[in-house]
Amino acid sequence: MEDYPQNVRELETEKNPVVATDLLSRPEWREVLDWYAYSGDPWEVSVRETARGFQETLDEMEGDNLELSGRMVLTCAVILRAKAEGLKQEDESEEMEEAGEELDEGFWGYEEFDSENYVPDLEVPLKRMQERTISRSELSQAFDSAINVHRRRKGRHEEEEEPEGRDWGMELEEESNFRVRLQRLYRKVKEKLSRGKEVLFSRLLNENTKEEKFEKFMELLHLQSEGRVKCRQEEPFSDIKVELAEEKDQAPNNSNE
Amino acid sequence: MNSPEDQGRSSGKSPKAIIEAALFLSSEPVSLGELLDLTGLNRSQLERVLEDLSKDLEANHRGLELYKSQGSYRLKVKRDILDRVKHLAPHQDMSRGVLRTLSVIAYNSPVLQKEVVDIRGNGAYDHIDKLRERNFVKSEQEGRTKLLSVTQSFLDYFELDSLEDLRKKENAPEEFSS
Repeated sequence: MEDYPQNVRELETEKNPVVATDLLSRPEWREVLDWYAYSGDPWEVSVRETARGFQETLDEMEGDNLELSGRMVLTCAVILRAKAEGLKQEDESEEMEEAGEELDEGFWGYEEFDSENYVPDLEVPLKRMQERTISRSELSQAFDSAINVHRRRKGRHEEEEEPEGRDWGMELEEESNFRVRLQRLYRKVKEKLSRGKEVLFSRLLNENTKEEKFEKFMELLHLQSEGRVKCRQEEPFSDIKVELAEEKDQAPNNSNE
Repeated sequence: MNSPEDQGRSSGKSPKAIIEAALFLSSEPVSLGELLDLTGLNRSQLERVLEDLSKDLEANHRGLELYKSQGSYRLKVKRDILDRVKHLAPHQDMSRGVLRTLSVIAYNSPVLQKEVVDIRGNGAYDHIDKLRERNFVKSEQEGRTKLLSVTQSFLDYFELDSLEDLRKKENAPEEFSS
């Protein structure tokens, strides 16, 4: 340790690969730190050696100076920061690549370079893309997974489906039931009109539920499309007025009514 | 006349070594044309070197094998070792969705495309296209849909003589009972 500079002035004239612990124990330790931060070349300082020297001093002191520990931590942090700042000025992509290389290789020993112009001649080993072929057992597992997913999906669809039995008037295969209902509604409309009553959509409902409204509306639309009734709505969301269609408007297939 | 290996040695590079390195590095199968360019050999010389390499790899102490498909070559881990080492390379050369669709086709080949889509959803159309590109699946028009079946490349890839082994599965779903 006797080769290390004994005061701040000596820092300017000599190579200082290590921050002497002794310098940080003096009252002017901040000057030392400032010199390293702003005047010296951080790349000349080995943080590793500095830490080692500090460790030796601590051993001698039996670790009873926490203030000195704090100073050393701060000094090392400042030097590392200064080194990092130096790196930052380099081209960003280069910096990223180098950082990646250093991380990959676990290489942090830049203080070992003999010259500041030293550029390490590193060759990145080419790695194979880690994609592999598929085994038969994986094909079999994939099949099980595909079927399980399908069954789960199917189960969900079944749960979401409407309970059976309700005919919305959309299933034309079930036309026979629907036809009966159309007949019934048509008779009801005709009967009410024959008694001189005005037929409103709301008065055709019994339960007044959403389902019933939808069913009745579908039936009315079918009757209208067949030219047997006319539906009129004076303004949006108002009640629908139902009238019998004129003879000439009626579809020819309704002659059996 | 010099052997291809000798010819390679005279220029300081063994064609077999170049081929092995190329196949090791490449994530995709390497075409015969690319190998011709890499080695500078003519076609018959290259085929001899490939055969030689394939024989070398057949030895028990080798864990890889040479795999040829559609005129391209790749190195594969031997099937009987794959299950032991596959955790080291978790990425398969096919996405999970595509693999599932392939499995549905394989276990039921030939199968209507419509049935596969019913099982796998609409994404299956895209999967089937990818499988066709890899030559694992072929299709024939069958009415308004297509009849899908696996190809010889599929059998080669999974080292199957036929689909019978796959069909022995006990839990074959009733969806395909027809």
